[in-house]
Amino acid sequence: MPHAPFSIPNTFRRSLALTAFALVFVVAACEDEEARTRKRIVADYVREIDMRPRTQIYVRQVLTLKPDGRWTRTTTMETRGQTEESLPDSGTFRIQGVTLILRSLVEGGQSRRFTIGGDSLFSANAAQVQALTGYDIGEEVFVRSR
Amino acid sequence: MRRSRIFQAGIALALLIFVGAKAFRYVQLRTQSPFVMWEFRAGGRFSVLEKSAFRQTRQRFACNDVVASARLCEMRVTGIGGVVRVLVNDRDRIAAVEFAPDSATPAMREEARRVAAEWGLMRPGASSRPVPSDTSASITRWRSEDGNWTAFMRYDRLGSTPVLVHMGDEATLAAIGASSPLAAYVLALNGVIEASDVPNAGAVSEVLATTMYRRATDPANETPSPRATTALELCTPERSDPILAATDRSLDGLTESVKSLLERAIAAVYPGSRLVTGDGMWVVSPTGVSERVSFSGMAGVDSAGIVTGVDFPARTAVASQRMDDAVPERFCRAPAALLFARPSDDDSLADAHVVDVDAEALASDVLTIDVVEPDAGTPGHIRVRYGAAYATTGWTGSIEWEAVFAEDPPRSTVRVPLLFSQHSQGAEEAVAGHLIVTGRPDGLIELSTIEQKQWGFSTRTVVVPVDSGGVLLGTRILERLAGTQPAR
Repeated sequence: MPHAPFSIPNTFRRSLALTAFALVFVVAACEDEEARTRKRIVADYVREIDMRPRTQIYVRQVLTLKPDGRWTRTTTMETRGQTEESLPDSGTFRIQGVTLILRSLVEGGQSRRFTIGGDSLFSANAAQVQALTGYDIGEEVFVRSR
Repeated sequence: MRRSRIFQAGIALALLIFVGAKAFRYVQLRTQSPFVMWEFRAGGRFSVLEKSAFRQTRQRFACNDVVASARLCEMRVTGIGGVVRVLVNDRDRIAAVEFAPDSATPAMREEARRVAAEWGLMRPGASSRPVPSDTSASITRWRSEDGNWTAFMRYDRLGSTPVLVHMGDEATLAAIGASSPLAAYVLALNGVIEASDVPNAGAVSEVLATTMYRRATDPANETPSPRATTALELCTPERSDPILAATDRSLDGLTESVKSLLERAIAAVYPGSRLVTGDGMWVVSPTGVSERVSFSGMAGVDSAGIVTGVDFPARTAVASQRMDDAVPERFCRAPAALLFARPSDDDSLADAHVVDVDAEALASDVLTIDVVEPDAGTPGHIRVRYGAAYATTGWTGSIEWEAVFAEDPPRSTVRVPLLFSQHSQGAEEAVAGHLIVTGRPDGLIELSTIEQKQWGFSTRTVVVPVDSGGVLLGTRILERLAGTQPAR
């Protein structure tokens, strides 16, 4: 059957459909990958700073990653036997490869990045901070607790 | 209808190209390491990496031969500052690539964490300490499922930033390691493989230890010493050395009895000459020409006699000058000698002998003398380390030998080459290194070198014919070495 001069031929339509399907498949695969990683890393992660007995300071931070893509962080500080809870922080997270990106809905500001290395989360913001300030803020490591 | 067919053919062609490209990519990935850091990946083509690096840095890698079949290429990079080293085989394949950052910057720490996390997704890394008792260093290793690809990160005491990131192609590294007798050893010296992966590490280290710690060499590596002296005249100094008056500290450490024994021995072995002491020692010929003499590596005890190296520095200077002039017709000999002297009971001279340490060399000097007392089944002998100089029109060079002196009258019986140095005409620098006997095919000696350069270590292997008496000549060794492409 003759077709209009500038219409897309059927064969080409079919290949376009295939390409579109493939694109959807690739995007879905990426989403699947992120979902799989999310499922894998959902847990409580703990970071402790224990300067006792030299100074009477002990800090415990718990970062909780939830299956719905949300996170919370609590900080407990013990100074000379007194326990103090800081204001909790929370927000949403997303995953890019091995990088976990936390966005705070409480504090706002720039996203915080972590590298997912096995059962640990290594902060990945020091290079950026150093580029701006010239100082190395060091590395925070959160270790999976459950 | 016809247009539809053209479209169909076009789509089929596009599909074919797509599938072909995917297949090509699959095959390419199979031949490259899954452990990638930035653009660094073992198994890839070095020329591709080099082009990319040049595009980004406007610099080229500096490459040096490690063995005949592989070179080590190095480049300093900025950004995350450090040194990239790439071991490339003779087919342009990257056998190993490593990055040593200059310092533990936050950028390097975070990049290393990211890379380690990506590698950890493929295969979990295994952490250990290179030396279990050493808590100041640790290492995390990854290995692909098929074992062909490896990677590791080495950390120092702080442990958060690697001091070295290494990615290797095990099959290619093994092939390079097997390409010559000391290739694996030299790869380990360059830090490209680990010492535990060197099959002959113990044996090679043992040979090197004999050189470094003056242990007796392995009899398996001995060849007969040359007996026939080179038909060249002895070098003659241009002028007499003035005798300098003794000072308070002249001849410190030389006892009167040894001095007396030397005086009598010199008169005996160089008839008509006498030993004169002042601020040094001189041998004065029957015609009154004085020549400074030095005694080196003196060994033995007064009552049993002494053995010492005898060297005439002015003769050596003449020999060296003529070697540098590179006119073989004007070469002359300035051999160092061993002087044996034994006193009798009444303190007179019982006997004295002088023996050239090397009958072949143009010049020589005695470095050390070790008297080995007779032991069960082993007759007493003397082990002498000496340097021997050789030259032709194209090069000058020297070899350090360990020779065994035995028999009565004493003579050099067997020897083992230990070290060499060679300066080829036109070359800016001399090449030098250890010599190790790595094979003894019929009528030949296989020698391998270990040469230390500013950039690292290299090895070459040469096969040197021995003469009809089984003698391995220093000149032949240096000729063969000059004939191989010197590692830059």
